[in-house]
Amino acid sequence: MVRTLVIAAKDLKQILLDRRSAIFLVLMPVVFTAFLGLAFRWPSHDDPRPVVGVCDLDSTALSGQASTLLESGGLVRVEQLGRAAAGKADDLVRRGRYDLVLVVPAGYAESTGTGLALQAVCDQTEPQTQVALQAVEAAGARLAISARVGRLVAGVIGPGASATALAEQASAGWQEPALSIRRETTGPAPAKKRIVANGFAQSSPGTLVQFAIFGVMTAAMLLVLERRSRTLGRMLSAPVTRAQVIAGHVLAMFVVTFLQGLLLVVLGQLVFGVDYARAPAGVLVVLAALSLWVASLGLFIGVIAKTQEQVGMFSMIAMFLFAAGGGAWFPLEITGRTFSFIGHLLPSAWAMDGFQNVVLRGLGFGSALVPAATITGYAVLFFAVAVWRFQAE
Amino acid sequence: MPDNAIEVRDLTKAYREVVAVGSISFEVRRGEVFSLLGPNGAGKSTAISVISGLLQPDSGDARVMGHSVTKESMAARRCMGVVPQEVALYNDMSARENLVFWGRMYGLSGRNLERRVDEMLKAVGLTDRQKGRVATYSGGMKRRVNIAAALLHTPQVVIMDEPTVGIDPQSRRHILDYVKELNRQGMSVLYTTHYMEEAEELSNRIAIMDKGKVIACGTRDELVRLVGEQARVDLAVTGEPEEAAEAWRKVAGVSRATVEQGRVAVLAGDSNAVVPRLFERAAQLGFRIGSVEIREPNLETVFLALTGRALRD
Repeated sequence: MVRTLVIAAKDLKQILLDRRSAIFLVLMPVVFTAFLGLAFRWPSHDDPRPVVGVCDLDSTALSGQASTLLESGGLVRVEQLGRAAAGKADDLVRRGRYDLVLVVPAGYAESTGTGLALQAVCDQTEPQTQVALQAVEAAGARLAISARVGRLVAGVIGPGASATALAEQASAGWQEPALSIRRETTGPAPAKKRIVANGFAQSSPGTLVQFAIFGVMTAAMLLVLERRSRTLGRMLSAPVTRAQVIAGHVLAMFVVTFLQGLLLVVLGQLVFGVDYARAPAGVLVVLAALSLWVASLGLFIGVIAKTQEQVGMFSMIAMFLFAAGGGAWFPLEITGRTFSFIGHLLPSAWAMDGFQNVVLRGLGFGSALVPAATITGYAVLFFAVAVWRFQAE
Repeated sequence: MPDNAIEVRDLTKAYREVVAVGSISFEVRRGEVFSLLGPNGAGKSTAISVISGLLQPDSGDARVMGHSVTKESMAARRCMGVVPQEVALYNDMSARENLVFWGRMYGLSGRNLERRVDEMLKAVGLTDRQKGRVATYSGGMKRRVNIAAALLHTPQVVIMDEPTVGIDPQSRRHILDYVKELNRQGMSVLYTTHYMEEAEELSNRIAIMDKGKVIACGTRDELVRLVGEQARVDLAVTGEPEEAAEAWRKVAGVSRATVEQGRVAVLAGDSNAVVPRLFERAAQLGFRIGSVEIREPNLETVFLALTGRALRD
C-alpha cells in the first residue's frame, strides 16, 4: 500500500512539474466552458411557447390530426414522442422537459364518443401549463367533432336520417363532447422546479467530460516514458509487485481527473450558474466514476502505446470518440433516437446523463446511481484489459 | 547464510525461436566480484534480467542469497540492488528526488532514508548538484546517480549491467573505483561488460559468454591458461588483409589468424620465433607490413582463441 502511494505521489509530482499540465488540465477547460457556454443555445431557448409532447399510441389518420391541430393553433410548440414515452409521461413533465404530454390512447379513433379519452399529463400549478391545456382542449374538441361528423356522414348513426336530425346530432357533440381530456397533476411543485437550460448547462459538464478524457494523455505519457526510460524495469526489479505499480499509476490518474473535475464543477456553480449544488452527492458520485474510468482508459493507452507520438494519437482519438459520441459537444437529445442509442454505448454519454440529470433535469442523488454504476462497469472493463496487456508485456 | 551470493542453474530464455540464453550455469561467491564478459548480443543482459526478476526463465532457476528468483521473487529482490544498463531515472526530477523515490521503493523511510540519500550523494560526488534536474546532468553524472539508486538499501548483492557504457574516462574511473570500494565493504558484485580491461581489473572470477552460452569460467589466470600462454600479434599490412591472414595461417607456430578492423590478428605460442617467419612469408607474397604489435596473453586472446572472433566484433 505504501509503495502504491509513493508511486502515485511521484506521478502527481511529475504532472505538476510539467508546465503543460496547467494549460491542459486547468486553463483550456475553463476557456472552453466559457466559450461553448456562450455559443450554445438549447433548441427551445428562444421560443417562449409551452412545449407539448405528443405520444400517439393510436397511429391512425385521425390521431395524427392531434399534432397538426396543435401546431396550427400556434400557441404551443409540439414535439413528437415515441411510444415508450407514454410510460414516462409523468417523469418528462416532472423533469421540466415538457409542459404537457398528450397521450393519444390506442383505439382512440374507433371509439370517439364512447368514452376513451385523450390523456393530458401536466402540472396545473404551472402558468405555462394553462396555455398548453387550452390548446390541447381546443384541439381535442375539434378532433372529436370531426370524428363524429365523419361517422354521421358515413351513415354510422343510422340510415334515412334527415338533415335536421344529423345537424342536431352533430351539434350534440359540441354541447356534450364524447371525448374528454383527463388532467393529471404530477404532485406539488418543488420550489425550483423549472430549470432554465442555458448554454453552460451543456458546456460545463461537456467540457468536464471532454478534458477529463484529454487529460489521460498526460498520465499515459508518464507510463510510456517510464517504460522507455527503463524506470519501469527498474521498479519491477525492486521489491514491488506489478499490482502495486498499476495501482499507483491508476490512483494518480484518478486523483488528477477528480480534482480537475471538482475544479470545473465549483467553477460552473460559482461563475457560470450551473446548479450542481442541487444534488452535490450525485455529482460527486458521477465524477468519481468518471475519474475511475478515465484512469483505466489512461492506463490502457499507456500500456498499448509504444511511443509518445502514439500516446498523443490514441488520446486524441479517444477524446474525439468519447466526447463527440457521448454528447459532451452537443446534447444527444437533439441527435435523434439512433445516434442517442449509439452514444449510450459509450461511458461518456452516461457521465453526461449523470451530470445533466442534476443540472438540467433537476433530479436528485438517485438519478446519478445508474449512470455512475454503468461508468464503473466500463472502468472495470478497461482496467481488466489494460492489466492483461501489462502482464503480457 | 548461503556460500554463494548468486547461483544460476541451467538457465534458459528464448525470444520466440531465438535462444538468448541457453542453459547457462555459474555462481557468484559471497564477497567476490564476478564478471560476465562477452560481446554485445552474447546474452549477458538477458541473464541479468532473469536474475533480477524482470524476465521469467523458460527453464532453470537462479537463487540470490538462497532465494529462488522464480519462487521467492520478493525475498530475492530485497537482497539485491540492480544497476541497469541504461540510465533508469526520472529526468524531470532532481537527483535527490530520484534517490528518495527509489529508496522508498526499497522500503526505506524517515530519517534512515534521508541519511542514506545523503550518504549516497556524497559517495557518488553529487552532493553539490543534488537539487538540479537529472536532465541537466552529464552522462557520467547520470550514471553515478543510476548506481547510487541501486545501493540505497545497502544490498548484499549488487548486479551491474554494463555501467560504464558511453561515458567519459573520468566517470568510468570513478565508477570502477567505486565498485572496488563496494566489494571492500563486503558486497558481492555481478558485473557485466564487454570491456576486457574492466573485467580483468575488477573481477575475482570471470565467465566468458558468447551466443547465449558460458564458454569459459574461472579466474583471469585460469582462463589465460586455457589457450596455453599464446601471445597475440597484431599486424597492419598493405594490400588485402584477408589474403595475408590466409597465408599466415600456414606459417609454423601460428595457431590462428583472423582479420579484425583491417588488421590481421595472429595467435602464436612463441611470438619471438613466429614474427620473423611472418615477415618472411609477407616478403615472398609481396605484402608490406606497416606495423607490428605483440600483446601478452589476456582475455581478449582467450576469447579470440575460443570463438575465432574479437570481443568487439
